Amino acid sequence: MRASRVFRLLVRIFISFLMVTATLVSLLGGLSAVMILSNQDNFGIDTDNAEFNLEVNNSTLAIENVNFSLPFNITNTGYFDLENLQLEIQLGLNYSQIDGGGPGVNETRVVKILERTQNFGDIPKGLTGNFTFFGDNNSFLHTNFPDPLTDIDWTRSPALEFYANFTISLDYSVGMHSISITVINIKVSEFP
Amino acid sequence: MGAVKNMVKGFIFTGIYVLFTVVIPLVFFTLIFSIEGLPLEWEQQDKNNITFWIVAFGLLVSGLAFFKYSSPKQSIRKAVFALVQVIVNCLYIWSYRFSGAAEITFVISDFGFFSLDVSQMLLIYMGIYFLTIILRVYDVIDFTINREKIRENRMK
Repeated sequence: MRASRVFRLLVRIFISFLMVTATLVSLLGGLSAVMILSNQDNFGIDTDNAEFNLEVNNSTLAIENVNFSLPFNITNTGYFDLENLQLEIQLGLNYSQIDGGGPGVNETRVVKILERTQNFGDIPKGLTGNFTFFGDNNSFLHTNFPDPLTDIDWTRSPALEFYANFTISLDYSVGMHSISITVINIKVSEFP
Repeated sequence: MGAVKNMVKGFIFTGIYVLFTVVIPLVFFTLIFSIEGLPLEWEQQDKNNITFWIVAFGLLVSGLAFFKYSSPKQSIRKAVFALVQVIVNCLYIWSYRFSGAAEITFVISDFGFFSLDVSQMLLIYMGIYFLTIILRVYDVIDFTINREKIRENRMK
């Protein structure tokens, strides 16, 4: 065999090795994704233990401090580590506008008061990652809050309702697969 | 006899390529579109787009496979068709990305949605194909330079 053909054969073997490896990783990654996603218990967003703390000044009704925490867990039952786990939360405040649509006519409005993405790193294969998302006072969009004296109809019960959209996103199989799961319109708290 | 053998080989490989680049992907996407209780965010137009590009590039790759595999071993013709085929193969893989097939989103009613993005996987495959392009260019040069030697060996 000519020397050039031997060199070519070696390069061919190297490329074939890469191709077989990439195919195996993608197949095992796909299989792992099915294993993880087919069991709902692998993704736990614990809305029952979500805490929404809202401190309102009793005399001025101004919001002094607000924070939000949400525990969640993910079990990695697949063959590879889950990487770059991120949780994005959008929190909406639902209230009745006192003069919305004209004097005396109340209108329900929703404003976005929190939009935050937090990175939680990796979850090694076979393990469960327990995390807590936390949004402190500075994370909230205070300018979007309605004026408690002139905007919010406090006679409605509850006066304020908080709804959330969650997006969990992660990379899998050495970044070859990206998965995201979005849960929309989950009620997390109300006030008073 | 050699020519007939090469033609048969060409037809066999065309069939294999049609199976892997057209039939299996179409069956896969038809199955995904027909999953009940797990509606896709894709619309009919997306499905038409995906089907069109898979069939268009799949048939092109399969057609080139015929010319590649029916050409004599170590011939310049074979090397050129192999080079063109691997370039079209890259476009075929890229078509999954620009047709939207690389990102599948399922809408789960009263819950939210779930999406799977395999764009990165396609890029890795394209990287490997790029290495194959280098190999094919090397073949074209090698077969051209050593044309006489290859012909002599073939005659023996």
